Amino acid sequence: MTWWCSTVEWPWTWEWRPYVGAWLLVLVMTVPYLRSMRRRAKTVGLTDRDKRAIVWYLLGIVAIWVASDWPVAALSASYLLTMHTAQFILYGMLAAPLLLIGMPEWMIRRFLERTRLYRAYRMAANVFVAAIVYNGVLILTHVPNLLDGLRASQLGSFVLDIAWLIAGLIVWTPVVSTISELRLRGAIARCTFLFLATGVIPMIPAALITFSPEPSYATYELAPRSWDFTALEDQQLAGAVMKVTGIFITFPVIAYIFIQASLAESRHVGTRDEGGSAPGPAAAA
Amino acid sequence: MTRRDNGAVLDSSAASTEARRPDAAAPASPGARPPAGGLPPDRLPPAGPSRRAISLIVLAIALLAAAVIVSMATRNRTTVDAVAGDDGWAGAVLEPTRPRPEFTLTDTSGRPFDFAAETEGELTFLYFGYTNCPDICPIHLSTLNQALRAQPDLSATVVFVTTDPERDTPERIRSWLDGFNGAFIGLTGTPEEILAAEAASGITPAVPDAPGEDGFYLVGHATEILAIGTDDRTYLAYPFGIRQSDWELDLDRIASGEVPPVASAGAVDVTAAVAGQGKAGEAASVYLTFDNRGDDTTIDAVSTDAADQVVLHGTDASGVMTDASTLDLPSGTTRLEPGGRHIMLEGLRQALEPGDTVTVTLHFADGETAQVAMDVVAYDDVLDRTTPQEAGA
Ligand SMILES: [Cu+2]
Repeated sequence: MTWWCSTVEWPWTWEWRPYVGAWLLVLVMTVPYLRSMRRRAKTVGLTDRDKRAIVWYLLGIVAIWVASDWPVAALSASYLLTMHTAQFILYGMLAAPLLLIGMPEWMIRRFLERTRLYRAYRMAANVFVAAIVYNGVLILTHVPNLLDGLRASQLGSFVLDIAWLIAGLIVWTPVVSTISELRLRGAIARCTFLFLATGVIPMIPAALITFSPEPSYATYELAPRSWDFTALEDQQLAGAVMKVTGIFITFPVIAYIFIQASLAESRHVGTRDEGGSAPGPAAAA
Repeated sequence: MTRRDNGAVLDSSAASTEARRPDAAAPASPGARPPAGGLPPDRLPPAGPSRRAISLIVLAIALLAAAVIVSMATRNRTTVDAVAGDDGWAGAVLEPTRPRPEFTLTDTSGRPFDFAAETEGELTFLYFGYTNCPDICPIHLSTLNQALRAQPDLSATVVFVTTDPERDTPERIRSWLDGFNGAFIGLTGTPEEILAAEAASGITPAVPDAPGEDGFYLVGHATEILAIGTDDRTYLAYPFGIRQSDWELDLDRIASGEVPPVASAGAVDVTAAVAGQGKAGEAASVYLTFDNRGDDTTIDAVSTDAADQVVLHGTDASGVMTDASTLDLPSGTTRLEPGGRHIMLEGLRQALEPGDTVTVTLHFADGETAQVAMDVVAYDDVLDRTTPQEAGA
């Protein structure tokens, strides 16, 4: 039984393969969440905001499932660096913010309290630490020998994927966390941080990959090829995809934050910052 | 199976990181002090990476490093231990080197192709494979092609011999090779002719697998691409797993006029070797060029099956030939040349004619031995072959 995608020797086929670990991950992340929501619904009741959160969260889970299951994970682990980059984007740039938006403040506070992770999380959410962790993971996981080494085994490949997800959760916390004290105050601060941490620094590894004169990763260079482009072309495309992420994800989010901030400002001038544990319908009145 | 040089560097640094870090991180492990009360304070102390923050990062890196070490041990993409010796050639240096293989097959235009004659004096890459190969052949040839493109100063001939003449028609070979490079030469022949070509090249013969239900079958074959130099020596073999960057290192060296050693023992490379001709029962001289990268050493004896005895000849200050019991090899380059020191094969068991090969074994003072195979040439040509070739570019 295959738990997690790792590098294989055989040529790519469109024959479906099960990856049990991906389903388990999805279950482990979904079942407790939905149970917690149901308990909340029976006791306090769910606000509209909670209901919207469920949608965001489930979208995040879908992103994780797509990233960790066949065919994305299979292509990523053995054949195409471009798919590997797409997988990184799915985990770190899509699933991570969706999950954060999808966890209401009461839930995440309770979770952090029970797991005693609050302090660690607060430290990690410091803008400097978050930027270092995210970019550190990004750069480390693209060091050729490390990437080849991690991709080769199921455990290594799993560690790589989870590292991306955790790094994504950390870097997005100052921007979209539902915990007000972990979020940066002010739209400009949030946008600046997001721009620098996820838009600018990752350009460096992306450029290294794009402009390398030869394929950098044995995993993809020596992979059986079922399509009409070389390992180097794949690598250049991957570098481009990594750069384009900024344009397609980071910048729309920045724009959204700005629009929201200016709308909020024009609506409630002088209202105190929302984000309390239970704003309730009264807050919107 | 592990990657070469920098892999090892990363390994050791990762290992030391892991060894150092857990202690440092332990006192600050998350959850050492749970937040008082259910809701944490609303205000944060002044932000900035604290000691705890740093230990957190360090912990994360240590975990990653641990995972890397675990996975390094179990990696499964076949890569080649590229640097076999300290000579630094990415390909496997063939010792003793073999001459350029001789065989005749049919090219993709249907004409007979005498490999040794057609490619004589050219840097040649020779590969035996088949066009239906799902993995190794296309990757291997594509990697070579990319590496050659990156070194446009080097002119090289690439020859592909099918090991599956049944399915690989000349047209199919042609169109398949054109997918890489229209200049690649494709050869086919009867199974017997191909077998003879494999034998002449020193390649393990290919064996077809049993066909599946759909009639498709794989062909088990050797994965080496042989490199044959402008000196007509088959000197390097590149098994599958060689990467473009590795190949480029070797091509750069070849382009700058360097050649893989004819033989080596420890820190001593024999970089050129040639024997003069001689009649049966008479003597022939052997001229070698040594590159000693280590300390001064000596060759204590030379043996061969080709002659009754081997004598080391030195020349004294007045130019008179003297017998020497040993041959000194100081650090650096030592050249045995006509008019200087040389090795004499005395009492040849059979005549050595130009075009023959002869093999001698060198016995070094430290117990190492090196087998040196060399061409026999006419006396007039000896000087040409012992003088180092100038760089091509
Ligand atoms: Cu093959």
